[in-house]
Amino acid sequence: MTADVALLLPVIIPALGAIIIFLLSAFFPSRAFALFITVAAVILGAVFTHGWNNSYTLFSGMLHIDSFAQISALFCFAISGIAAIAAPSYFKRMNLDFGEEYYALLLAATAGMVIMVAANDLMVLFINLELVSITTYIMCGMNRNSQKSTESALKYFVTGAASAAFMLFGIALVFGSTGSTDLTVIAAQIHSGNSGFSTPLFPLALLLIAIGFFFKLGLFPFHAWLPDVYEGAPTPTTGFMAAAIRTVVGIVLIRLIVDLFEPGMPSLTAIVWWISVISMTIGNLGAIRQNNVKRMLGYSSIAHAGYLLIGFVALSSTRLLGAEAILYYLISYSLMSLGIFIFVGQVEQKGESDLQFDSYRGLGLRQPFVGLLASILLLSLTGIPPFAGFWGKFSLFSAALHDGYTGLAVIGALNSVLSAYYYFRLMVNMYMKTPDARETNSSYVRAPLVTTGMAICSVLMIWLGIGPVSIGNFLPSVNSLWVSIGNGVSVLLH
Amino acid sequence: MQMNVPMLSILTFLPLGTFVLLLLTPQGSSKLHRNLSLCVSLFVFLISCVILKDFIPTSIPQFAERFPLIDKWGISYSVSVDGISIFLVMLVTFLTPIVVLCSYKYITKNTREYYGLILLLEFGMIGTLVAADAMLFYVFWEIMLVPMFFIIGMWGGERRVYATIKFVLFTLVGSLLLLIGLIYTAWKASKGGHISFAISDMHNVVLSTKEQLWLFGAFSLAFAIKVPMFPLHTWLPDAHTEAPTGGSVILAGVLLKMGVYGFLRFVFPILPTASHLFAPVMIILSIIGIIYGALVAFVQTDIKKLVAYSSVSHLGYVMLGLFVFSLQGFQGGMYQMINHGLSTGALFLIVGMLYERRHTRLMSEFGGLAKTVPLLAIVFMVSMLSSVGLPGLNGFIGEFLILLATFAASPLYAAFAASGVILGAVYLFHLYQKVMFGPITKQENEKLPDLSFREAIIMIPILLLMVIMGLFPNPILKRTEPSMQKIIQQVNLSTMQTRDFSAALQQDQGSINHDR
Repeated sequence: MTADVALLLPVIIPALGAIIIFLLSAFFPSRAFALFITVAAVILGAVFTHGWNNSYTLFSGMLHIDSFAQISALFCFAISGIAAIAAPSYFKRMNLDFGEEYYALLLAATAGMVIMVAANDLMVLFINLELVSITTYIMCGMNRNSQKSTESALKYFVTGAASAAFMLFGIALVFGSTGSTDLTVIAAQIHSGNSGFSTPLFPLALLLIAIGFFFKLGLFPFHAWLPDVYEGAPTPTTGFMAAAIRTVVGIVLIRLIVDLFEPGMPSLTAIVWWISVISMTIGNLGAIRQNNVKRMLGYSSIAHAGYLLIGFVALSSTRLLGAEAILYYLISYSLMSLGIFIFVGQVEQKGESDLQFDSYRGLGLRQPFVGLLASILLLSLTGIPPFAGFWGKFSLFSAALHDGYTGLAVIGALNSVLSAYYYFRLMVNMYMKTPDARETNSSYVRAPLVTTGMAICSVLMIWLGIGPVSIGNFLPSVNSLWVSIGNGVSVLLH
Repeated sequence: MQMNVPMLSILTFLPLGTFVLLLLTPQGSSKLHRNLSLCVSLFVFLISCVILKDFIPTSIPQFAERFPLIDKWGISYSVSVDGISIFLVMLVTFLTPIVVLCSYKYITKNTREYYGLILLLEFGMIGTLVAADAMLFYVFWEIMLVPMFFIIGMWGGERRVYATIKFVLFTLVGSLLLLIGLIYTAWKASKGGHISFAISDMHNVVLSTKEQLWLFGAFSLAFAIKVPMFPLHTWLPDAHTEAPTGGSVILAGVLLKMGVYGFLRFVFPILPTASHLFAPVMIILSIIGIIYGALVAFVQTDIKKLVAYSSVSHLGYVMLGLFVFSLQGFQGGMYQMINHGLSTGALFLIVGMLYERRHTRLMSEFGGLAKTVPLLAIVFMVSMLSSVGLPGLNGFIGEFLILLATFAASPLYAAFAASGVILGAVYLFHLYQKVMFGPITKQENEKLPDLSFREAIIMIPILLLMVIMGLFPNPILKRTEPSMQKIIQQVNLSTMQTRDFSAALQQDQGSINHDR
């Protein structure tokens, strides 16, 4: 039990940090201190994940730690840390009377995310998904002076609650057909040929759970909330949402598919194929029409969720390739979207009017360093090599082609051309349009800490693209997922 | 035979290093930016000369370097040169210092970015040509896109944004399908479950006719857009007209050749059957391109647009030469690529010089310039004649070889193609007459400065090469021949040995079933 607690430190530390900030800020409100605690908690938490390099099962099967969980957790800490240091400048500028709470919520969400990537039980999974979601609802509504922010929080909350209901219903049905919520037990039952899976209830259960996740990822037809929520939320929150929630949901989905969906996958593949195609297409077509950069990024994130599903289609037959592609794509996509939202947040000075494409005119030449960082992120989002975004798409397309889904890969490729239009359009404004005299042009507000956060994202795009940590290095951790699950199942069966 | 120095890597990465270095320099010091880039690009040219000196005329890839990059995906850093790439690399390294030098006066804003991007472009171009791994090739291929996007968009003319976005979207449509095609071929080339992107492995891959046809569609779309072949050429006049002189020279001189290079490196060796099946279509499109480009060039009033359309016509010859699948045709196509790089590059430089003097490119604004700027008129004359294909200058050799090969294949094709030569003479002489001869109609034209020292330095090497290449074609042809022979063998394998395609198809179907 003590060993269990030691292994749980990566969860306990951020949770403790959140509590400390909440309590202290009631008496001694200090944003600098809250930021310090957050960064410290994130770094400490990340350090303690180093104990996760072996396979462990904790709390009677509730949590399952393996190197897949380790790399995912490390990544969650990285996102939270970058999101934390990018926030203060924005909050100060926007004159928000919140501040300490933001960090506390961020840490609470981080704790939830870290449990989620290791969760081996559907209930643990659900509760922590709720923890992450509810903290984000609040973070969306933090700008109380803005109607849009309130709208964003409400919209996110209502759709999020609906999706949670779907998911919970699905979990209940799974429990009904297997008598357990423990993923290892369920997987063992699937392998031993339990008759409960032949009933129509089981595919329905899977569909309901999948709908819950598709809501969170913003996939067609559950995408309508996303642009509004992304636009209305304070930009640091949007960045955190785009990066963290999507990633953690995607990672959990990989684990679930391996454990749970495998027998039901063939029937779902056709649906997932279509959802993928439609999501990328409407995401990209929607993004082309936007004049508001934040909305454009919102639509483009729908498209990116569609690309991600290519990996899930491929996951049904070549598990390793598909899973590796998904993991790599999730990591690279979240870093680049986090970086670009940090950039957008720093350009946003007066609010709404700074979010238009036009207000970026000439920015790249006025502030060359920031312009360079933003260009790297935009090129990576488009999928131009050698940046990480390209290798993400490369691995997704490769997995799809290996499995004979050539059509899907071609559609994905053509969609990338569409996306090039709007990402390049931002660069066109930054570098090629002359600023107009009406002073509608904004600048990036210089703040060393924030720029550091953005620079980390940009450098990681190069590092993950051509550095020593490239796509080839993710295989062992993905592999460990199957090894650990296989072990669990065989232990139960014998 | 060769030193143990990674020559090709130095050649490739020196411009990249300088690009990074330039980004660290302060914005204002334009003298530093241009002199630094000139020195580096000259040094790079020197290195490439050393490589050319040690180049042995065989079809074996030389100066090879190789180490695994992403082992699991079969991607390696592997570079080499052979007869196909060596002279295109020379063309890149030769034109880059010229482009740097020609921009000295014209580019006054954001010099750090401009020269940095030119060097980044050189990095991409050399990398594309020396890559011996398909993924490495693709990475460099896309890297070329980014600097060109900025060069057209930041230093271009009125409609630069439209032109550059069009350029980007056209290129990306092709290149993303190329990516899919490359990955597909790489899976097919996998050995024992290990995917391989080595181009040499891809050359040995067995594909069914149906697969070849699809892949031909994907590959040749990407490469034909870049060339550009007839119905896909519409981005070119826009991009050329709006680009600054330096950008146009690189675009016409080298970037267009990348498409042809792609055909030589990927399409013919990997997809021989489909190449033969599609050859009539490609030949007809090339001939349409030759005649259409020439006719449209003739009616242009903007000099730069005229030169741009002449590129469509000239590249039509190159493609025609390739698709008759004979050694003469290939050799002629190769030679014509270098010729076009020199002559069209020179014409764009001259257009740039005229523009710097008069700030217009309309033909009607000029006339009688031969009296005021005699030296420029001579330079213009030689470049124009080289482009027309006058015997004794380089253009003649390429066109002659191509027409000879075409005639051997089909006299009818040759007759149509030869009409392009006449049309070429018509529009270029028309241009020259309008600009240089006749009475001086505009007052501004009476006192124009003649070639400056810097401009003379730019033009003389090009003119010298035109004459030398026109009189002594052998040093080049001798070095390209073995590699061309090899491609001919690869592409004609399908017709000579009549590969048993039904068997291949069956085997293929089997493997598809196995994959499921």
